[in-house]
Amino acid sequence: MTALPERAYDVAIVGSGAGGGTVAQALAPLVRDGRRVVVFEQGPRFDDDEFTGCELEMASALYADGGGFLTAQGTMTLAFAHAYGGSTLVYTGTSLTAPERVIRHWGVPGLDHADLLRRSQRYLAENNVHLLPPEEINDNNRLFVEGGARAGYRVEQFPVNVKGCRGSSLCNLGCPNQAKQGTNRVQLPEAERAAGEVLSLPIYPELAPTQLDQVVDAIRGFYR
Amino acid sequence: MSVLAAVRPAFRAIAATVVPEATSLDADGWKELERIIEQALAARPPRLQRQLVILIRAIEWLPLLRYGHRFTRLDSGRRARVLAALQESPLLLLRRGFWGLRTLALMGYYARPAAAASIGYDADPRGWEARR
Repeated sequence: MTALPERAYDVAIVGSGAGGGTVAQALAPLVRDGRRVVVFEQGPRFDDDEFTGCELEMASALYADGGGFLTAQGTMTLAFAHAYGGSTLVYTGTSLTAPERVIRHWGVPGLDHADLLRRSQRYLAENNVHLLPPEEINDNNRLFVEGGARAGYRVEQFPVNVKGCRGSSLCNLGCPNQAKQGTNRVQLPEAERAAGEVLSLPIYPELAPTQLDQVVDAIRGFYR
Repeated sequence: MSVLAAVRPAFRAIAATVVPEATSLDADGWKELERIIEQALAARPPRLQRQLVILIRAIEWLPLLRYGHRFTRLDSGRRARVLAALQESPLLLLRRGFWGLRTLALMGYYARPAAAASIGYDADPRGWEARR
């Protein structure tokens, strides 16, 4: 195995999903000011034509342990992606802003719901979050709405972050039509563009486990 | 190398209890189901593969204590009761092991294109255009 080249950064971001990808974009102006920012992503970057929609193929390519990642206690499994864009590649695109009662319950000092709502507007616009028009609601969901309403429940639509959705029903396997506007399509490319031609915001693809350990150790050292 | 080869009859009896529709599979159907599972297991550590084989062996022999017969010799009702007991076991290790085994059986059966078609699963990258 070849040793990783030694590089110094001002900011290291671990993971390229909803959290990491968004932070990378937000810090992009620092790169213009000469700061070095890096995003570490364990998984590979896929080309558009590599999203085949084939369940077995895509589950093992995109998800940690094929979607059956077992927690340390072994009491539950987690399905999360390790790829450029993290889990924004494989979630259904449902995009909600945390309600006031949740933010109040968290009790994070300085995290104000009104401020969060204001900041969220930017991401809702950038990621094309909207309610699907009635003609794009599939039969399953239409029946669910009808059944819920008849049972006396108030049924609402989830807003989703899609653009040019073709109704493949394959959101969880990485959209084969590049309709879902995850960080792989919006925030990360934007962050990389901001870095100009200099690779000062590189995305390392396909780190081997041993290399990942090296990176994790280096990051721990960085934050100590 | 095959993980299931050493415990094939017991595995098939378990899989057919978890997914009763599997009883109607022909030889090619079972081969396809097992190929899918073997493919998933190939990426897992050898230790996990060994644990799975041990669990299947345990499921085959444990019913001797209660019913006087191995799992593969039980009728479908008793097989289901044995697996339900594992699923509800107070021992985390057994619950965990059975959960994994059950997941594999479901994946092996339903990941086959024929099973997907039989339940009307028609996801297609072309989406609405393909379904019109």
